[in-house]
Amino acid sequence: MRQIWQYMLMISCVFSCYNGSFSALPNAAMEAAGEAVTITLTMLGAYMLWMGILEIGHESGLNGKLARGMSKLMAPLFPGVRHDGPAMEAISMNIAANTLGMGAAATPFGLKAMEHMARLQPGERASDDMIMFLVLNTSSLLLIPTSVIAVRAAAGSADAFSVTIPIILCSTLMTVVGIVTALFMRKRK
Amino acid sequence: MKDVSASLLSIFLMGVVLYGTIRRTDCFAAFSAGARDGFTAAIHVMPYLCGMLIGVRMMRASGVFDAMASLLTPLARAVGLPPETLGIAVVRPFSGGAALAMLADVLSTYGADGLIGRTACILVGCSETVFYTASVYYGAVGIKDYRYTISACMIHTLVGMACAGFFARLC
Repeated sequence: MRQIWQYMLMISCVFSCYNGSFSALPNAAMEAAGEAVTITLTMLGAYMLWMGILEIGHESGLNGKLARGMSKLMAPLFPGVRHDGPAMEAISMNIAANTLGMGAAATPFGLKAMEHMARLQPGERASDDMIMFLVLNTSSLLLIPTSVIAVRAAAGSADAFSVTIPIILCSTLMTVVGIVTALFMRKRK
Repeated sequence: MKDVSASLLSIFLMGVVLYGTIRRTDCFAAFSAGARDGFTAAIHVMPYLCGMLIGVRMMRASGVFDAMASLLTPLARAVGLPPETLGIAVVRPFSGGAALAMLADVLSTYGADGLIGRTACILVGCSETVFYTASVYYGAVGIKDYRYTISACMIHTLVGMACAGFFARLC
């Protein structure tokens, strides 16, 4: 996967020779590099706004409260994990952070959750609980799509927030489908 | 629908600040600390975004995207996605940075508020980097046998992607 970038450049070069657009490539590259700066600068504002607001939620204990509520809801999905144990706490903190669109803050909790679950079932095989965790993590139930809003704002959208509700609906559907699929596959084996 | 989305976020914003005030949190200090983290995060992303956007733009300039789109149009039509957004759907499970760069490219080429732009946003917002996440989390604790992880994760990802076009028409 790490080589994808090389291939993107090589494919473009080969393809543009064939297409006769070879001389257009450096221009496109320069434009893209400049645009990356503009996009990041505009994104900076949106990131600072939402990360700042979410930090207030963190400091005041609101995020922790959300995580505890989620852990009650999610406990039945993780039969191998103690419901009041540190693994469940790490799992719910990870999912809560993901839900709030704080991907960077979610990863440390996710790694902690994996360590706790690995201790419950040593070996090189993924446990059912680990798979359920990955399913919940990648179906990404999302309340505030921070980065999408930021990119929309950077692209000059007249209404950067308009996609929030469709994203919430779509990710809820995915979470339900993911849970059902994982439970079905768990039973079948 | 537009107003509902924006109102939801203002309710969230008000709610968080109100709760912070009730719990006697120093809201401004907390905000600044969080904003600093957001600042670092965005700056940290810039080199990746720059590299990926260069790759994406070179692909577009060389005509690869046009060729790909015309090849994949029937498939895209079948699942109700605009063909222009199909590249995002293909890249998304592998790389978050590449998907973000492609989103930026699609939004500046076709506009952020049209059907293409909205579908692209929902595609990126809903799905996750399945392969990357699995390799990071499993790699950290030495899991080699993923069992049904990838199939379970890809089923909900594909369902979500197939529905993105439908949800884009809602807003």
